[in-house]
Amino acid sequence: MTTTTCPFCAVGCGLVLDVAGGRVVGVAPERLHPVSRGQLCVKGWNAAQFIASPERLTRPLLRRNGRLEAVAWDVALAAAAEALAAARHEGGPDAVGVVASARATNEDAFAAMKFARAVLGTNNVDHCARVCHAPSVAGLRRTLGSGAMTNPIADVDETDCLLVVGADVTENHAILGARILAAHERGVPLVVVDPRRTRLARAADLHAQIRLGTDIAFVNGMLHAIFAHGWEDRAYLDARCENVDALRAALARWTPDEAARVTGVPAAAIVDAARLYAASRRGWLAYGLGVTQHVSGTETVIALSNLALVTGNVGAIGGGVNPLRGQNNVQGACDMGALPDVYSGYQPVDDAAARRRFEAAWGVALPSAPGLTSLSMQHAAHDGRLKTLLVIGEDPVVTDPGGRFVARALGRLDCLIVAELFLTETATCADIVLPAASFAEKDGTFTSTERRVQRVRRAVAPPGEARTDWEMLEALAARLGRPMGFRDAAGVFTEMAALTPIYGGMSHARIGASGGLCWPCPTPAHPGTPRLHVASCVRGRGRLIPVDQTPPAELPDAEYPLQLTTFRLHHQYGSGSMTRRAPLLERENPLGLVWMHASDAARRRITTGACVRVRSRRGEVTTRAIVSDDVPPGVVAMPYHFAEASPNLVTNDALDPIARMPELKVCAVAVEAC
Amino acid sequence: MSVVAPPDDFAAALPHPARVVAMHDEAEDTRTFVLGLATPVPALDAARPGQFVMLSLLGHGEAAFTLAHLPCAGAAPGTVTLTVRRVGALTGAFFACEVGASVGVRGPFGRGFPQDGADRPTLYVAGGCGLAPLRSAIDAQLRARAAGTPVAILYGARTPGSRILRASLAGWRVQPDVALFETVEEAAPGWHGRTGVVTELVAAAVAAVGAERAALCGPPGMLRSAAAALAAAGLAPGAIHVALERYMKCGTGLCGHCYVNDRDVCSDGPVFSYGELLALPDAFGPADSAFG
Amino acid sequence: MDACVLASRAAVDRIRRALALDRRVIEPRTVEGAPVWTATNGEGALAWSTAAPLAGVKGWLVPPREPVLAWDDTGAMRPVVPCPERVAFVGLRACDLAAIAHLDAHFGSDPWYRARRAAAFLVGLDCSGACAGGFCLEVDAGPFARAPFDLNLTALPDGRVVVAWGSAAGVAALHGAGVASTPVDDGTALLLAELAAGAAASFPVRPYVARGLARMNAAPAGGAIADEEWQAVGPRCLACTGCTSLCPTCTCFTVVDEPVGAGGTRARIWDSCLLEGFQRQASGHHPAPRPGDRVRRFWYHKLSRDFAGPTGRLGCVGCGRCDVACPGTIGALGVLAALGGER
Repeated sequence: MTTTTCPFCAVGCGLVLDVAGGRVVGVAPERLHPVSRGQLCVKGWNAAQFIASPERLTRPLLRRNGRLEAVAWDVALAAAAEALAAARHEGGPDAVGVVASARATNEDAFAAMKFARAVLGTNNVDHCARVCHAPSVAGLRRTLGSGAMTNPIADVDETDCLLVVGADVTENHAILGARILAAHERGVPLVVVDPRRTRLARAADLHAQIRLGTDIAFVNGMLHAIFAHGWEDRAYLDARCENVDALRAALARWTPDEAARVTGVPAAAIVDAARLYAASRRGWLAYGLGVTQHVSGTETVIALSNLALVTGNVGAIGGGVNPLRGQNNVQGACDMGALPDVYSGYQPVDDAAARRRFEAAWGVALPSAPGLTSLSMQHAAHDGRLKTLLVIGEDPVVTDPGGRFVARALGRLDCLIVAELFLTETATCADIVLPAASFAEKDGTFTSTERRVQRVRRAVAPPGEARTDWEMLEALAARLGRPMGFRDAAGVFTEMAALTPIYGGMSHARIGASGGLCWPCPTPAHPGTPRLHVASCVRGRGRLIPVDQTPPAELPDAEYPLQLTTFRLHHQYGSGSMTRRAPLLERENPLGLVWMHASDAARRRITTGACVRVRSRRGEVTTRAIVSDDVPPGVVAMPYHFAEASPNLVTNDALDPIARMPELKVCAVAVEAC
Repeated sequence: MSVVAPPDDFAAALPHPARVVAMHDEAEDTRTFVLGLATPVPALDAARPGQFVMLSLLGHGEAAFTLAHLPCAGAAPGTVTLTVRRVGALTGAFFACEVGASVGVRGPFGRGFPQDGADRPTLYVAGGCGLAPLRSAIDAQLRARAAGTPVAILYGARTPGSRILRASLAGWRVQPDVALFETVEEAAPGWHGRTGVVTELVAAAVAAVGAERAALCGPPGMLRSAAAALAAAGLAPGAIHVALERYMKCGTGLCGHCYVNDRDVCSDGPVFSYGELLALPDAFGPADSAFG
Repeated sequence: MDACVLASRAAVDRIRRALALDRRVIEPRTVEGAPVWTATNGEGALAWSTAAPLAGVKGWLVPPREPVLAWDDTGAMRPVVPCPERVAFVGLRACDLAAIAHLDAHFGSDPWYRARRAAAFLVGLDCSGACAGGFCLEVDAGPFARAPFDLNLTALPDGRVVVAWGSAAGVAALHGAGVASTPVDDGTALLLAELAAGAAASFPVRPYVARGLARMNAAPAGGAIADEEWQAVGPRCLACTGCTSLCPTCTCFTVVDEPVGAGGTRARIWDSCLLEGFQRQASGHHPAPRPGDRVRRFWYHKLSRDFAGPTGRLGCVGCGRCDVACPGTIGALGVLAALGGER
């Protein structure tokens, strides 16, 4: 029995692995875990399946004569080192890049960012936060000074109103979603803002079924109503916020009627939502990718921050602005500085003092200009500027937007190196594939959405010759003549903590003993910080920033009359590389599917189960229909887990100008029976 | 519970090796496979109409199929005949098999149609692929009945193109004292038969042969309405026998997938009397069913 | 009564150590604050007051993954015969023993189960009162144990221990340990009866449990409960499979083929009837398409007398694990509260 942290989603549930004969045979929930309290979702209960899958990669693979062949580690590492060195020689340090993993440990992510910066000499390091919560980091840093979830999950039990925007919590963060449902059953009002009728929306006291991409109009309408009715927290605004008058002035045009015109939600419902949230003593505001995956993602985050500040909810027990991070360690991968512009702990690479600290610790000169984002790396690969790319535990061919562009761009690299558990779609395109250890096979830490840093413990040996990411990166660094000096996971953590003030007081020993600690935890005696911005915001005063409605980059027209949105299923995780190896999970949703409203289906003579084609300006995908009132007329919705029917063949890669987030949540499509 | 099972019990749970010896297409997406067993399996030769086997394709798993032809209905001993519609991954893999391919067979399992009553006027009601499980019951009765015992067969298919077992249908059509009623839900050019659902023909078919008993197989909605129509036409619920279908993983009452209220379709069925089913509210499931 | 009296708890520790000579002794121990079935080798004293672990012993008798067949690159098949380690579970509570009676009945003909079950020696430990969330009394599964134990322990307040035996193996183990014992005299029998009555009296009064069970068992089968009630409960089920995984009487499994190269393994893995795909047929037909249908089906299986095992007891043994595991607060007590008008 090994107590560890669930590798699916960022709730960070406590998981106990049952080992027999060197194999993880079963799982159980950790009875006393502070967040999951003896519960797991269906993914957690099925976590044993993928670990021991016979499809796991067990040896390095090297492309020879067009085919991936098993080779010794020495051969693979030599080839990888040569490709990285050659690219640097030819195009300079910025001709190489690293995509780190939001699924691997903090130790792996820190090693990846050190490898990119100290070994390769580039700031071209990023990870999939780019396509989930980059706007949260950008938006909340501007308004509050910290881009993370402000309040703990446990505050769901301490609040007087639950406001959920663009998040399908019962399906994607099930244990948290269930806690919201339970609080609602106890009588806490629940307001859901979502274009889809999710399980939470069906249970809610008020479901604002907004048009896709009109969140800012909705929130501005709420803010208008709040000021109009005097529901704002004046004392809080005076004491803790700045720029109040500018916000009030900018809101003048956002009467509930105007917000209703844009969002499609009745004005009375907008005022009701404002009243439920603002007139409650405390409101716990949570949001998901429905907010961030838009060209206006960062501005929508700012709008939500405005809402929480105006009502005095930032820093309060039971309040907060709470971005629900998607992957198990996407918070940690951001914290570790697997981002092109910051070192670990959000220390900017263009801040000379921060750079000097890292240069002193690592004994190398570091580049000062921010590097490329993951999507920019794809474009640089496409244009020939990026020559060798190392992708760790991510599957951008499936998860990133823009049709076949990603595969085409990766195909233009001189060398694509992929570290993976399985031969994913992206790994299939690689020149070198390195077999990676899963969470059950390594020690380390994950940081959950509520900034809770928790232990990951090795229960079994990796299959075959698979290695942890930091081990393979260390081996690669040694071959490049710049060893990083990592000997074990605890040592990586120790180096990281010494360089990262928000993690400064943590160590493996301390985290293991206390059941996890929330950052910031600057000193060994510090108890951790479940709630941010309590006395004042991290940046000082909370900054109110007026934002205006920006329509989606692509609107429906005669040729593409429907709007496509994407979502996630309870039973699957990311591109499915882990969950699709669990027979029960795979059985639940055996197909990529498209949900559509009966009125749109009838017009096209489509019935549930029918084969349909979804087309956009960027490509098309064939799948099967589910006729359902989960979506309103005019909207179709697809989960993105299935490579054989990936909505990302049609989604739009138009970018949020601030966070460089692609607009995965809305594009124009045509759907027809085939 | 202190007795360890003897090793033979484990071996007995293995599939019997077999090969595909013949196959022919019945209709769009429906194919009849004849499997030859590697060694004689007396229990399979003695199987009764309505019983089923677990077909095993190594690497793809197992699925339950009712025996479509049997030695008691004239099939060669040592063979297993299955008529299969391609609907999922396992049937897809089965369709990809060629003659000579290795498969495995476990069984026979379950309770088939009643073994007595060959001399009683009988109505068979089949919908879609449900004709395949009834085929051996029909042929067995035709072989065993006293001369002159009337038999009626009512077969409803979705379209003319989806009609299966056309050779059997043609054979039954010319048998003495056999009345064959066919209907399709959607006609097509060249179809000169009836259009409509089988339920509408039940009363006339009962009257035509003076049916005293009936056997049914087909989609759940059709079973529900046809059984009710038979009861309304005067048949005793205990004389109406319905073959249910369920997703199954073991065939032996252990895995739990096929349970209907407190009964297992695999070991208590798959053939139940309508009288029994009236006490099992979950037998047919709700009327509205996704992908139904 | 097939029982005797040991003078002290230390004698029980001698039995445990004797069992450890040729078996792995597995007992509840508190690990990081929660009870967990732990291999103890019979060392230390028995944890008399440690509650039943959240994950029970089902996984030893019916493993989450049980390989049953292997094939090689020629397609030749062979059965995978388990060689289970000999174990002794010491400290099984009445609810878990009642559950093993269900497993014995369900899997009695299955050679894989029989092999594992024959390797397990069961030592029960009577509860002195209600545990948090347990309602074994209301479903006639406890708090005092009944078969199928090899040995069963009842701690007396004066430090003595009553040991009952339920099998020849149990008698042999008792003799093999060489502990002194005295017969159960009338005074001790009276004391046992008082203890049982006291344990029963310690349960909280929950009238909704009886009301819910009565509605569940009113004729016709489940018909006293309107479909709308189940459809209202249904959305609270997230289909996490926690209840079925932890339920000590849940037995459903699916079978999966795991190819490795040209060979492979066929294995049973735990399944859950609360998953949408559990009964969905390849044709698309679904006998229980709505979440409420599946929740009803599951609880009917657990709480209806139609599923009473050979002991006549319900499929639910009142252990309360599903109430812990259910994120939707519709474990057994949660559902009985809903059915019994408590919420």
